[in-house]
Amino acid sequence: MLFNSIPFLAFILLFFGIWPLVKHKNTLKWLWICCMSAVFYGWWDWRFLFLLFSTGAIDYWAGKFILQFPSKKKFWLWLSLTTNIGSLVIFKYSTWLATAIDSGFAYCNVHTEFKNAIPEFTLVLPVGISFYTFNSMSYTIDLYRGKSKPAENILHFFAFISFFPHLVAGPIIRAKDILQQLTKPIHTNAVQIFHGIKICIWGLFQKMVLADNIAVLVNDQFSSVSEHSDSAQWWICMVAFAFQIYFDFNGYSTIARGIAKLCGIHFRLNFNHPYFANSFQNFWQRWHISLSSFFRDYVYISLGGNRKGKFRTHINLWTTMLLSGLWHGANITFVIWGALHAFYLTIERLFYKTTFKVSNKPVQFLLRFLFVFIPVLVAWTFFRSKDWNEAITIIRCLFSFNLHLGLKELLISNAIFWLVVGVLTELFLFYKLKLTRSNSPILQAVMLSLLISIIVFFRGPEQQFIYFQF
Amino acid sequence: MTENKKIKNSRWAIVLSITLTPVMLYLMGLCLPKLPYSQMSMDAFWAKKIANPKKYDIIFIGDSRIYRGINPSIVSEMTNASVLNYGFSAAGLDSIIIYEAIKQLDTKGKKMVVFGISPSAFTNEAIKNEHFHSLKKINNKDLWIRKNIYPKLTYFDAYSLAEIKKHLNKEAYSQICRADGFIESNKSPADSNAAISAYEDYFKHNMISDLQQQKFIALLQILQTKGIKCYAFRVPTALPMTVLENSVFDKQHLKLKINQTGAHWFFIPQNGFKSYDGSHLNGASANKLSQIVGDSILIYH
Repeated sequence: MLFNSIPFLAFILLFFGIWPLVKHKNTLKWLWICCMSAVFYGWWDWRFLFLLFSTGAIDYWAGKFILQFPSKKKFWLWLSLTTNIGSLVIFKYSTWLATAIDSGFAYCNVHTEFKNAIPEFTLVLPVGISFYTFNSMSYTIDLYRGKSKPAENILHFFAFISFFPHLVAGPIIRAKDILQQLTKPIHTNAVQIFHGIKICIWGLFQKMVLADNIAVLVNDQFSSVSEHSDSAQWWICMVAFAFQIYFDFNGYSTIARGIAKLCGIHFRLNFNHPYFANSFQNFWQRWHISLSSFFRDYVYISLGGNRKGKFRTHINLWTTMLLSGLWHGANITFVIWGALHAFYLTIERLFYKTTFKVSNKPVQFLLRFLFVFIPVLVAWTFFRSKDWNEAITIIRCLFSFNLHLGLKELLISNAIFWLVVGVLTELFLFYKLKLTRSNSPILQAVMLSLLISIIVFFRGPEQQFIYFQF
Repeated sequence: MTENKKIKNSRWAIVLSITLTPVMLYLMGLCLPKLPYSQMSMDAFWAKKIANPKKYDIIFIGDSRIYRGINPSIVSEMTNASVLNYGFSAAGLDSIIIYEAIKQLDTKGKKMVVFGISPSAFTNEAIKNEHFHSLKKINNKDLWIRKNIYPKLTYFDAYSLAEIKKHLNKEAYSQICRADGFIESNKSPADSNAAISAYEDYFKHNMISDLQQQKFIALLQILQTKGIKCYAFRVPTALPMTVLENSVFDKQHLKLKINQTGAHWFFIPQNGFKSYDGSHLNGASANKLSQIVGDSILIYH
């Protein structure tokens, strides 16, 4: 069920229609969250509810046994990790791995058919599997490390794992953040409710108006990749894609935060104006914060972080970024995307101090912005391309500086208009500017209803959320 | 501001927003220009076409030239039969689409299939039938919503700036979707050369495949063994397009092969029709073509 769909509108009205009646009743509250989350997930394909709840049950019991049998806690942790990573490998990576193995053997003139031997049920990628397995793993790892308290009962755990706002496309939330909030009595006042509504509407605007309109230009350009294309067209396209994926994913995360807020639950920010980052490290502190902090805490730091010397730091960095790339999808393009970012971070760590000194002078700000933004665009090329060849063709176009100057139609297109609007809103929000200092309820209501009308009448052609595929 | 004051203000803002939003939606809908066609109606149209439970005597199969060029109600009136237009965008004439179409033939009816031939229907690109398959992939719940809810929401059709610009320039592309699968299309101003360059480019990258034509001929034979009467005709288009397509397509050869299977080839004059974009017929020409095809069915039936 998509946040921007008619069924979701009916779903959310039903959810919040009943929510005030159950939010103060302990067991009913948890049951309502679990049941509605099951409906939300099952709307896509109810068969995969079994996977969601079975892996969740294993994690819940593994967490319980970690505390009950401290001498064998490593075993229970491994069981949890194997279950989650195993289900990811089976459903997300099996075809890719089998193809790679077949190709490897074919290279040695040995014919194998591992790909054809893969069971058919694994060919469907369960929506949100990458997100909910990570949520679930964070629970057992935190319990193992003694950084979190266990869920009181399995209903609490399932409510955390399946809570529908974050279930299928994040943000990845930590058990310690959410279980505590869910356990406490929920009090929401009108200020929080209005704030939650505003956040939801803003997220919908980012997704339905900005991302979906910009997507038209990007999809069109990617439908005819040719070596003879205009360089400028591809630069514009990649800038458009950078903002499309940002508005798409940030839009989803923002709606999720808004819905959670309406339930009286706080989700951390998932994006913080990443394209205004002044370094690559800063970019990763601003982009998909819940995932990058997951990899930082559970992979990078677990590998030793920067505590084991400079060389190991870089190895850890590369491992983390390559895994982050692979998390996005079973395709070499995502791995290269991760590798490019690892390369940027390595270069930055080695040379940053000699390139830019931190200053807020406009010229230096612009230089720093370009220093980060252009390499990020190059990396996005791999992320968006369907394969290596397509990515390389586009990279060649980008740097061939082959200009036909046939941009007039492109520049006056609908997509460019919304791209400019998107960039301006980003600047506006980054500098914390305000249209008015007035807090008049009339003005706020007019602005909100105007934004809703813009969403309704100027929404782009419906596109699936990009991160659903992960 | 005190907490109580903030809460009071927010309460007011919520109530006002709930009240103002429908008013604002209504006013914005009124202020925006009337669209020449409704995207939501189009979505409903395609959902109904791909999940149509009804059975028919005669089914037309082809690409956009068919669904914009054959008006089943005219053919139906002339032949006293129920008629469906089963055309899809950029459709290729492959077994999947043809077998899907014949599922909708009434087994107790006249059992006729009429193929509208466009040369591009035999390219490997067209055989992918991307439009058809994209519709087939839509799940039943979404299809139900498109069929039943979308037609009630056409007031909230989305606008693009390009459409507003076209409206200001008095350009109009009207598409009226019919329940029988026909889209009556008209464009003002018409440009009978508009599609030429795109088709030139298309044929540069997509050859007309002999293999696909052979497969089609084999399918015709199979259909006839099942008691289905098969007819085919070349869908007329603008003259420059016909010239372009003749340079890459051997119509006579295909016609001969089709006739050899026992199916009938309708002779349709390629001139005397008006195209609004150089590829598709306008509404009046579609009606004219439908009459000619209806006559041909009566002759051969």
